[in-house]
Amino acid sequence: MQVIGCMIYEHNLWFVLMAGCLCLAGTYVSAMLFRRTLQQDGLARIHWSFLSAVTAGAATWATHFIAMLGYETSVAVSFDGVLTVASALVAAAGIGLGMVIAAHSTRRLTTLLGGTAIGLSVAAMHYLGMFAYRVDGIVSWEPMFVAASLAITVTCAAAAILRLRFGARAGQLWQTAGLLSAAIIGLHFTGMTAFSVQPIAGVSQNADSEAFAAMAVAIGLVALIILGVGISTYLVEKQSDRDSESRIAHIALHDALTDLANRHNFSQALQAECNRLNRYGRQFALILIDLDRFKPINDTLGHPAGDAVLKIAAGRIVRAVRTGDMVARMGGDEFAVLSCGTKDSAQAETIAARIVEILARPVLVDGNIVEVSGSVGVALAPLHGMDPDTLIRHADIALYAAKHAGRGTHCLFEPELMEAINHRRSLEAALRRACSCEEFEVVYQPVFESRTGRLHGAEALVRWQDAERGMMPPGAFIPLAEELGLVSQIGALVLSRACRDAASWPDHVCLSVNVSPLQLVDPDLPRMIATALSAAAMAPARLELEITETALLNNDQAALHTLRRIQEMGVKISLDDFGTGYSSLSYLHRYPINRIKIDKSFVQKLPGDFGSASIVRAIAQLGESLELAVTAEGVETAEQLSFIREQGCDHIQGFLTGRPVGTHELDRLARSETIPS
Amino acid sequence: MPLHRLLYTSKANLPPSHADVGARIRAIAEQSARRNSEAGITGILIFVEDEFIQVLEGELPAVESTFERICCSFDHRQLRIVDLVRVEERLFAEWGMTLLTADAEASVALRDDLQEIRFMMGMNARAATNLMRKCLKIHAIKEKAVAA
Repeated sequence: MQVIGCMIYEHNLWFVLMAGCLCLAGTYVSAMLFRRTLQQDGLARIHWSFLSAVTAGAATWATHFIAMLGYETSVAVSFDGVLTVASALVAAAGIGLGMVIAAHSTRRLTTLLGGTAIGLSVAAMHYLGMFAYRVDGIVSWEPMFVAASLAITVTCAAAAILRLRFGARAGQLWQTAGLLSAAIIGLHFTGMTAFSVQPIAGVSQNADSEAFAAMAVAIGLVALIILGVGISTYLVEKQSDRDSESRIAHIALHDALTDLANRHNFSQALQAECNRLNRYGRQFALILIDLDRFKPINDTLGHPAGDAVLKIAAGRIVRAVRTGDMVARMGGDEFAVLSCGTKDSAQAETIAARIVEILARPVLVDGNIVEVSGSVGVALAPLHGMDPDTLIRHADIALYAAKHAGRGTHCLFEPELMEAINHRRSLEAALRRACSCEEFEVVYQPVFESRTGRLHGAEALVRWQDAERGMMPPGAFIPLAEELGLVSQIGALVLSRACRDAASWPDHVCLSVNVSPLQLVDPDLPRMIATALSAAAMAPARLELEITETALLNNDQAALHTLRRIQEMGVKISLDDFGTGYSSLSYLHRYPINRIKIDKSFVQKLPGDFGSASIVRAIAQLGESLELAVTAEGVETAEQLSFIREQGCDHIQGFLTGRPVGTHELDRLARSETIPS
Repeated sequence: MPLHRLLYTSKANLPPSHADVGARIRAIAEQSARRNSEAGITGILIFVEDEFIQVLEGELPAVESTFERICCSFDHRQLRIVDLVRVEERLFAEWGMTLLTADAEASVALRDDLQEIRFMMGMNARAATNLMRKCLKIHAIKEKAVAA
């Protein structure tokens, strides 16, 4: 009661109100800053501690000083300058120390200690301030109230700091500010109750209340400026924090090169879209994109050019899709689109076609024209799947089909594609197994001299004896083997086995073996042939390699070099399927070729078809004039045989004269001829 | 910075409302002319038989970014670069980016010339470019006279 009486009757209430408002504002800002301090560590924590201590010190001191100015007494009053300033410094330093202690660890005892230090600093400031308050009268102190003031301030300050450190976040700042204000104001007025002045008779002069009011306003303004600095520092920091947070979030969710969404971001969006589909039935399309022929760009123009192409491709895809569709870079040259409003296959295919069209346009990079294109696979939800895994798998299958359909095209998922792919995958697996287990057989089609009808040699043909699929002719698995890079292995296997078989035949019987275009670019081919020949102890002159024109189309020099080395070993070269491909006559003198084989498509139309007859005749003449041996393939009838004999082809092979047989049968055939009957 | 000249062709891919194709083409040309002058690009845009033929000349980065912007448009399709060459000087410096169309308003002579340019494109890009310049010299002056 006495304290309230002191506040109301001994103080100017306007001053009290001003001090109170300032105190509440100051403690609120201080609490805000101190909470920020607690989130920091290292040097930043020291900076924040300093800022909160200065703010809290200024608020405390200004509260005290303004309230003091509002103290109404009948005696003359003055302030000791040095002690007044010192009291302000004690406030800031003491509160700072308390905050550092409180922030030091999360233990309650430390916090309590920090709070106590803050309370004591407030008290020290107050009583130091009171010493600076000079009155012309007899001053007396009542110890009870002094003790009470100390108890109040320490309790409230410690409670405030405990509240800030351990309490719930809701209302945290206001409650802390309230407790701190209670500590400061409670101390002040309890302390003032303990204080009394008795005027000395004869010396009587009232305090200059107008000057005091001006001073109070000035101090209040300075304190507000300090608070303002605290607030704005806090806000600026918070904003830059928010900026860097959003920047970090952007980096985490986007691809650095193209600034598209990254795989992680896309997966989340796809999952969210699947959830929406299940909840609201909202349909969408998943589009996967893969750039064709991207790797050669990196290899020939360098990675910076490759990066530039990826950026351009990203920009184009964004232009091709609908607004609101999510475009992501999944890694490397793979992109994905989540097209949310797309309901049916027609809409999805329109977008896919736009992507294909725009990616097929030329790209300019550093003055180079780069031809890229994109293959696109589309899966629709819910038609092709309801969950991310299924949709991605199905879109991937469609993409795979688009790639196989010749690139630069789009493909919509169909269940049949899956069957085709499963079939292919199992065929792939079986073929790989066949390669490692050598499940191949070699059969030999006899070749006869057309004039005498004697056995000239045999063409080795590979057969794949698969447990499930039965006997597979070369046409059914060689293209796949070429794609899988297994063809050289199969070729080597066939060659070595054929040489071994041929070595057991009579010496005049020649052997011809097919060589795939891919084998021809393998620089190891001549060595492989030499090994096969020497392992079988077979004369190189008995071996003939059959190549096709396609092998000669692209890599002129490399193929030429390989063929020359093979021919130097004494092995002959024949050109297979002649007349069907480009049939450039320049091959015949540019490459070291010993024989041409007329393709069976011409032979089989003999002798009725005039065009085929002319072609066969021309090739036979060409062989004669270039001194190349000529073989007619696929002879099936006696008429064809007699026509070919007339034209002067050297050798014939076909079902008429002999189907492919095993090595023993061929050996028997050869020996039955050589033994005069 | 060396100059480059790019020549490309494409087929128009405009919405079915065929009546205002001429207006649409002019709008495209005006927009591109404005952007091109900002980027320091000069050249010519020809529209004949539903086909665009355009020359862009300027510094390489400007040519590349302008071409990429063109590539991002779905107003045309089957875009094909005919020629990209480093040049010493601009051929179309005096005209900025001019549009020549073989529409109904064009004179018979202009239409014939544009047809010839289109024909030449498939055979000799450089000759076609020179023909464009010649054509522009004759017809642009005439059209200016008409406008005056």
